[in-house]
Amino acid sequence: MRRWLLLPVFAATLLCVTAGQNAGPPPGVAGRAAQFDSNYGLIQVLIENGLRLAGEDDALKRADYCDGLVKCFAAELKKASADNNQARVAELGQHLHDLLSEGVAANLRAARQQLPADSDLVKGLHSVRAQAERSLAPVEEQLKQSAGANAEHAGQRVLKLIRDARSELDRSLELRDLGRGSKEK
Amino acid sequence: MNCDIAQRRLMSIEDPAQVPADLRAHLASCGSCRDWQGHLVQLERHIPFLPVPVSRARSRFVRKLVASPKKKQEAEQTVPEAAAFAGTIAGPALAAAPSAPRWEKRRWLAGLAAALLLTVFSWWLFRSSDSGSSDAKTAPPGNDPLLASLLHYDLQLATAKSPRERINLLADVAQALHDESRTLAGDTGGNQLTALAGLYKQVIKYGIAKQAPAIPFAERPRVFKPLIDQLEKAAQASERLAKKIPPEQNSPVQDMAASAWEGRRILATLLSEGKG
Repeated sequence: MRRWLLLPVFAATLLCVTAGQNAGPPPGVAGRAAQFDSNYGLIQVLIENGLRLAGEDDALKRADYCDGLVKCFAAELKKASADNNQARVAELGQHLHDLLSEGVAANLRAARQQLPADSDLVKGLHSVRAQAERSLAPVEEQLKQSAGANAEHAGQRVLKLIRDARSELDRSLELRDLGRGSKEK
Repeated sequence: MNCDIAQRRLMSIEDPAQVPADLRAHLASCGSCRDWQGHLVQLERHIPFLPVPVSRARSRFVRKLVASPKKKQEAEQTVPEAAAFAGTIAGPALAAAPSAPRWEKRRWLAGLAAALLLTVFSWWLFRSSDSGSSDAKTAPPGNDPLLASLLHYDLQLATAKSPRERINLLADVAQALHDESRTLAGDTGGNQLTALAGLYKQVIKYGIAKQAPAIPFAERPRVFKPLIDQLEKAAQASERLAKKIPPEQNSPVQDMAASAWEGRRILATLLSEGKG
């Protein structure tokens, strides 16, 4: 019998058993837990805001609730940019863009369509717009500082996303003003 | 049929003397293929006359089986025999093989060296993969899917018009949180599950249960039945998950199951009210 062949086989078996015993939780689970911890504040705000949005019919108030989310995401984005965490900057930058264009701007547009041309509530639309601007200004400043002139930096792409979203916000209000202007003529 | 195909077929058939009709037709008109067939037939006929080396393996095996205590002695006899036989066919290099005990010793040493090498290599491999996985454990993976999906549902809720649309979106939010609990249950060290269970309860209690009465009676069966199913499945899945987690750590998962059962009960009650 070639018993000497059993030596490597025995060694391999022993190693497999040892490796199996030392195996911890599946890889990535602890990473997900860390991710949950770092995003828990935003997750909590999203849940609370979702519950408020579900109970709200007024578009202007919905726009205002989305503005609250913009504020939270912008603050977190600013922090990520200060830490030069480009992956997080890119992720949160995209979320901020979506919030501005699909949340705030969409509801401002809907609110504008519901309001009469001469309503005092039009001021509310501009107030929401101004609040968004107050959230965006500091984060834009931080992104400019972090990204510098590096066109490849995630901050540059996010700055462009914010510019696009700002245009969207402006359009959602400008149309009302244009509409009012044409009626006045 | 051309010559190339005909010759290939001749080589592939079992007996080149017995050819099929179509091949026979080609052979009738092609001299070179007839010659090819002739060579193959000749080769086939000469094969039985080739000398076959005598094998002692069978008798050796039987002897070993019958007299196992004599194994070592037997091996000493057979190796020189084999070497002698090898020498007759492969030349003097093999015939001058070292003696059996030396061979045995070398084999054992080779086996030991292979085992040692395998152990060191595997240790290095496991060690490097372990350090890689510890990096993966501490560094959060790319984009957070839960954050992305919750934002997506919030944006949809921000423009949802009907109570039906809203309650369905809230059910999606609850499901996203429930799915996350299954992912995070693998990591038993943190308190993420407790936080998640709290959020899940909030969505059921202040979301689904609060919005449900706004659904018109006529729509309730169509809207509630899938939600009741979903909550029931979520509750059962949480109960199953709780059994897999150590008892001292499974209370958040049990809380999630309780929230899901409570949500299901509320919807079922509202559904029966609609029927009445």
